[in-house]
Amino acid sequence: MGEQFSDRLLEPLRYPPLKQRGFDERLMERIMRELEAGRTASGRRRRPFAFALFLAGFAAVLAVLWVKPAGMPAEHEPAGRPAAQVDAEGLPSAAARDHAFADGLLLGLRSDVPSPASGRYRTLWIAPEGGGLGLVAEVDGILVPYRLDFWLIGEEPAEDGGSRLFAGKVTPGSAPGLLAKASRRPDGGEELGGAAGERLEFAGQSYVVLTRHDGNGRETLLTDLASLASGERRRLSPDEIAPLPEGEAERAGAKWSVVRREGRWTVRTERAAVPLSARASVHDGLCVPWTDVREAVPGAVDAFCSPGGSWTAVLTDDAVVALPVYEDGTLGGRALELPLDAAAKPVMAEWATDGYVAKWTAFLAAHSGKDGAGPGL
Amino acid sequence: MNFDYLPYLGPDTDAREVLRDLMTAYGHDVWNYAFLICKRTDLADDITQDTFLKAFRHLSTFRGQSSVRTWLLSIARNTAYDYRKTGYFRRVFLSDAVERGGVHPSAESEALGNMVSHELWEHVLKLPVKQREALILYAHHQLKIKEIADLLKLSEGTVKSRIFKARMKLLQMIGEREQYG
Repeated sequence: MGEQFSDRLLEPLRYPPLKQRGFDERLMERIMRELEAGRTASGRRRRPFAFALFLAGFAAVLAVLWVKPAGMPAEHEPAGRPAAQVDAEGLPSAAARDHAFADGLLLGLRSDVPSPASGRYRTLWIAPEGGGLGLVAEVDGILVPYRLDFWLIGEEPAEDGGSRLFAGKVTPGSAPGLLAKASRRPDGGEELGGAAGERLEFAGQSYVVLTRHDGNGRETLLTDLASLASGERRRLSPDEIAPLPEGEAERAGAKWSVVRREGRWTVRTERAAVPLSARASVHDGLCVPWTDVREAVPGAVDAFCSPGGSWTAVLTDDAVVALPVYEDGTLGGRALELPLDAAAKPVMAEWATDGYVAKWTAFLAAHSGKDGAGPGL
Repeated sequence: MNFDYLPYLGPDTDAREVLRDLMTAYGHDVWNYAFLICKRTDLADDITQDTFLKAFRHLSTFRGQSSVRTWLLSIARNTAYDYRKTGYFRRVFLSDAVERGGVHPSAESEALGNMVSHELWEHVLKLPVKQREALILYAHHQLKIKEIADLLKLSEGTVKSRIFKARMKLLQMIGEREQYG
């Protein structure tokens, strides 16, 4: 083999592997932005020790602040909603009894026909509890874990009479205001379909996908948490969250959507359907065949698999059902079943693994209102 | 673009401009290398990002003992292998393995087949990573055997052996394709 490249077989490898972009101006600018922000891509995914320390400290601070929630307005009490915690059926089947459920799921749901006493958005924290799985916490709004923080997304009345989304980083200072807004109903319970307003379609990492409705139709907008919080709603290309074919984002304009397809978050345009990249959805995809899911839960419409593959959350039209997944890939009996509002749709699914399960549980349990300890966050 | 000045950066140097120059000159090399190791465009973005941010932080430590390109590829390789140690990366590869086992076709892998610039790249992406990276450093980045050996921390003989095996596998794959395809 000579030092000089002269192999006809390998000649095509002199050229780039992909037809379309690899490194480009967009990525260069992203790197410069990250440089200014002082972070790395891997750090954005996980910073175990700093994150753990932060959560532990933050939970301790809020536990002290909210240990007695007597000062909270009555409208913050989640009394009127269907109490999933109360209704939840812990079903430790014989098959599930000895199974180790390793991961926790923060599941964000949107109900387009919400009950009169609750908001449109809520987040369930389903995590290992007492040897099985439990609904450890439930909060108003969509609680999004991102980097070292939790953000809360909800809706509020807009000046034109419709509704608009809001977002804010959850801190001891911001929490009371966020709580108040997230638990309100801005539109009197009417279905959003024909009304003006914004609707959350997906939240993951720092990204937020929303649709804007008015009398003439709707448009889809990708922005980020900070921009949503500021009210700016900086428009990002869907290329940011999915490797669309070249030029497809420009062709689609505002006519695209994020849907659940084959157990994955997927960007869909008229011409393409591409799963979200790990930048927007770190843990995604099925770990068991869909046919097995449907066999175990005949009414299944969607499923989310834990990162470690130890359990899967299956959505039906009116419930979320948790099933253990054994090492041989088979599904066990129902470990948990939670009733849902009719037409509840997932808008976020974030998983905690390893030590983060306990950290998130500590954080959420301090504020979720479980056991009457405080108001729903 | 000449980076001979890198080992002699002074305190007044605008390091951000140096970073931009490095990205302009070697962004494609780093991204392609990262992609060919991990086979995912989104991960290649992240690895490329971390590579240049690490390079930025360690600009003052570059002594010119290797070429700037080899230095950056070495950082990219370490970064990619750091990713492989993470639970995230294991999960991604686990799900890839599940997909290969027939659970459901990966839309991304299907899309990848349509994205490659030449059929040979499809075969290269199927090679074991050790053979793949030796081959691409040789055939795509056109490094010398000694440079590859230094980058991979292997003997030159081992590098030649890996490239030879990779080449044989490619010939086998092409042959199978021509026979049955």
